[in-house]
Amino acid sequence: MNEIVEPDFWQQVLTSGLRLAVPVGVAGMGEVIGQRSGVLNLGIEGNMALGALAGFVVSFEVGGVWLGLLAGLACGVLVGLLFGSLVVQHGADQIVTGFAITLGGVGLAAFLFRNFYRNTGMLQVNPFRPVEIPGLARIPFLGELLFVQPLIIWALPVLAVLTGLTLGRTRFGLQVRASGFAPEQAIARGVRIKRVRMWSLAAGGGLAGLAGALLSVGSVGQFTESITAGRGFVAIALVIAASWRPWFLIVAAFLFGSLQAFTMRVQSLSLDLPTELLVALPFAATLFVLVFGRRSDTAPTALAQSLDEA
Amino acid sequence: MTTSADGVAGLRLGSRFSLDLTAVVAIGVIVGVVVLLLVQVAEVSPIEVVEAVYRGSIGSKFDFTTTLARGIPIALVALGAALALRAGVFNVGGEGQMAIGALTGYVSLVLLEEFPALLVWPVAIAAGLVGGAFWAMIPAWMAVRRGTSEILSTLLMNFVGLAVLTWAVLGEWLRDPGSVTPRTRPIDNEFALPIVWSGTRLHAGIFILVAVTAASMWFVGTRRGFLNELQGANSRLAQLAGVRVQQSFVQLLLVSGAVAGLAGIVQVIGANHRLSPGVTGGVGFTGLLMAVLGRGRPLPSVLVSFIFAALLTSGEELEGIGVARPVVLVVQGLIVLGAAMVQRAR
Repeated sequence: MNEIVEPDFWQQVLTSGLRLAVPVGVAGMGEVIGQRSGVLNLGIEGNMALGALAGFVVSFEVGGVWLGLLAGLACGVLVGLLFGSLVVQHGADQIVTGFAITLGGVGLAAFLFRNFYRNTGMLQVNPFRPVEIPGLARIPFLGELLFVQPLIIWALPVLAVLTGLTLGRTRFGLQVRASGFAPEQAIARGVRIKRVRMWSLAAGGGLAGLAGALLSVGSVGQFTESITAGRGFVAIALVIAASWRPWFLIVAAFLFGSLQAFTMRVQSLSLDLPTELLVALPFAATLFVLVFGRRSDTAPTALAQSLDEA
Repeated sequence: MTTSADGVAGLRLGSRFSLDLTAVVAIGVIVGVVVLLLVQVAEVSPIEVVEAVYRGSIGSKFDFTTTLARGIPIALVALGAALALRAGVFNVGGEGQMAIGALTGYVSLVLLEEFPALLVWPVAIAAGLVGGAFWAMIPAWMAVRRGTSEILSTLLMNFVGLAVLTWAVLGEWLRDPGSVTPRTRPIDNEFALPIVWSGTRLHAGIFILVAVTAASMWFVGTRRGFLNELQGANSRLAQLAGVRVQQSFVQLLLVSGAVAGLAGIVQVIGANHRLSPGVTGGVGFTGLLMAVLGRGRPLPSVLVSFIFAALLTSGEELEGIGVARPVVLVVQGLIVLGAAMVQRAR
């Protein structure tokens, strides 16, 4: 147990926690946008799997991490638009459609990967590497935590600022919030709510696909069939726990990443802790927030209702 | 009551399946995508695939009974979910409820090791029912206390339930010390449900399924069953007709959780004969989708469950002709997508 009290241990946990927070935070940011517009997208797990594959294939065949991320983003937008066209345009049930996309997306990614790369052994592309920022990296504790990291970790705060500003300060953001909060009134006020939701889902899908590519090409440089490992659902839980606020989401993602890092370290040290139960912590915490949290004014009250009911 | 209980399901459960333009387009797209995947990607002929699916799912006695055995837990979860779905209650928590039902049922087997099977089976099944219902109770309580949508709470409870199951299986008390993979010791041979067709894997769980199906079909026709459907279609109207909507919401959530728990323990004593973290393997999620495909009606939900089970079973044969097995998931996903598009919310 002594290892746990060492500051080094926590330094390492938080440092890898920050890295692990990036994919789930990016996917969650997409889900924030979608849910604030009133649509619960349970398909992001499948969307992430497809994005992870698209990113890996482009990165492997063409080259470059950034191109891979772009491919993941593009693939995610397409899947998001597919989900949107079914749910928003055709009024299909959100829950059912979301599960179908997760089921089919995870399956399709695995099918395509096995089909094209079945006999090729372990394939590897170069993921992001930590970059040491001169000067700042010398700051005790924080230096190692923030400034000896892959630069991609800064994508999270940048995204949070962008999402926060878009939702809070722009006309489109207002329309998104209105679509999720009071769709009927929004329609009465002339908001083209279907269009708003489509854009939100396209953005959300793109971020989910990007998150998938961040997992495959960004962090490990590989694609495996279980690469998403339920992180899409974790992202959904974090979004709710963060009461749909971008900045809270980043904190939640960081906590989740650190928990993951903590679990891995504890396992590798074979300490006697119930690590299997720690897996449940993000979900249990979210349930706890739902029961005991203050009712949030950012909650999209029309979440998961179909348009005609609203 | 939760907004979702007011009919987020919104599926036109009562109406007939209408083959309108959307349906035709949906089916066309599904067939098109699948054929494209098979011909262009896997480079096999679709006819070959149809043959392989037939051979590998119902073509031989062994595969046919494997399909039946595989369909049992899916159909059970589907029946429970369907019962709730008809009233507009979306129980997304089948996976976790099934996991907890399997766990509580297995624990009761361990505790009652000394007793004869005829006594232990009812206890284990009761324990599975109670475990599943217990796991649905927390979302029910949250809905009553805070108006939390049962969609979110049951969804989240799945992952807590799966973690609890994994933790219990890996714990010193239950874990099989001789096994490298995480799983418990096998149950006493005496406690395994008998095989009903010798030389196959078809176990007596099929009779449990038949009983639950019959009970569901009977219930749907009763006054209560009708009022549930009314509640699903229009909860305010149901309230006017004297339905205590909140009470019925809680009851339905608990019952569907209990049936999912039953699926868990039946899987343990019927098929696996031990507990492992993978005992649910997505069955709880698939079961809900089957209830949606069956439009909340018992018999159709059971039938589509077996169709999906047949697809899963055919995976091996497909692998044999060079088609990677996950194609089955793609087909399943597309079928559900098509169904969601056709039976759109109103």
